[in-house]
Amino acid sequence: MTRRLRVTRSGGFAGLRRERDVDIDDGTPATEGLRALLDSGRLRTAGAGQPDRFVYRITDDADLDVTVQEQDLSDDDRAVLDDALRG
Amino acid sequence: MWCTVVPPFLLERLGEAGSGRPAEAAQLTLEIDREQRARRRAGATGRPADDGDRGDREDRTDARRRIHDAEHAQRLPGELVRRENADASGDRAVDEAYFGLGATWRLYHEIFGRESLDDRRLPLVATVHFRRDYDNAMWNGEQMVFGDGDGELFNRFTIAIDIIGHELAHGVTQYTAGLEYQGQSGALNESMSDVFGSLVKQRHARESAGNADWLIGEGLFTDRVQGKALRSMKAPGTAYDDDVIGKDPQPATMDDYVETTEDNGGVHINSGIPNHAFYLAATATDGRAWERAGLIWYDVLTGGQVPPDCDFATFASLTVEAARARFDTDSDEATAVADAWRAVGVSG
Repeated sequence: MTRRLRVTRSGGFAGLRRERDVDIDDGTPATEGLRALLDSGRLRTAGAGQPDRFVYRITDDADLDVTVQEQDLSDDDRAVLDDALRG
Repeated sequence: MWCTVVPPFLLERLGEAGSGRPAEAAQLTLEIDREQRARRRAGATGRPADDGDRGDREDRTDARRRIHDAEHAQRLPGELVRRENADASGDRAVDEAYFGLGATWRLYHEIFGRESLDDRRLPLVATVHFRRDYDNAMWNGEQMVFGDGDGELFNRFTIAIDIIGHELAHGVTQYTAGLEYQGQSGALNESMSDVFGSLVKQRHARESAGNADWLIGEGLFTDRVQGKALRSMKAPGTAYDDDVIGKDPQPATMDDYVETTEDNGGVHINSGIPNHAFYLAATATDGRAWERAGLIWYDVLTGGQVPPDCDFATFASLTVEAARARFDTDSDEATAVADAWRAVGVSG
């Protein structure tokens, strides 16, 4: 059974919302990175907002729902989420 | 309180109408009126009227600006490429950041008597060329950071002087009211940045409140995007409407307040409501926005009365009180501010 994730990015100076649904089992490098990030346990809802930073949210059909502030992500982890949004 | 019976624009037209006594009389009345207006403003602000920013590309200030180049990496602050009073670098983003920081510093210094963001002469540090295709600008608690944009939807974020003023205002808010970046207090934090960013732009263009376009981030979108700017304080919700990025989601009044968990509770969305209140207050009385409404908002932001979790209604009351304190209880300014918050549905 495939697992679908929804990745959303909101905030930033422009306040533009971006969203993309990702099939986590499609075997592409971008989703491999995303799967590894999910499995790592590093994605946890925490931290207060900072002016004009991006806010990422990852949900699935089950009970996954994490909101992470850009400044709380490592550069590599943030790049994985941005890649997922770009597709 | 300052009152005129004949509107100044009408007197000007009378004065131009050729020779003869009525024109002379009108001319004299106009001069006296101008003097009284200047004196009245000086009384309210402690200085003579100000008609705009006098900086230019060769500007020299005491802002202690430092512009760095991240060279598309993400290490901050990056290489120092232009410091205060140094010649233009020739790099457009560097020189725009330098100039915008100067214009913002001058607004605070010359109009509000503020010594930099912290009122303690904090050097103004900015980094440009942050990462690749970075579609953002921000204040990270210590300095400004500007991306180059992706070139498809967004141009470089130094392109509009009000974006630079917006980011620096986040610094001022951090050092003063400390509005929490969540929900209504977060939307007020955002609105402070749009308000003071817009004042930097209007003062640089030497515009009166009535002539300004009240757009935020004009020129930031590439010509592939259907939109004038990122936000409109005059008409929130109308800045853009595009197939790819969608429509400007900002409400102008509380009827359309957006409840959301995204963007820290919609801080970039619901800021449209206090933004529009400021626009209404600033345009209800004539003159320059930074000379009246801007002073009132600044008094509130820095007055020590704003709680960190301030909601719109609390902020509205504080601006009405500040308008009465600075301009008289029954002044046009106090009435304009109270009317503005009623019009956006924040106060009854």
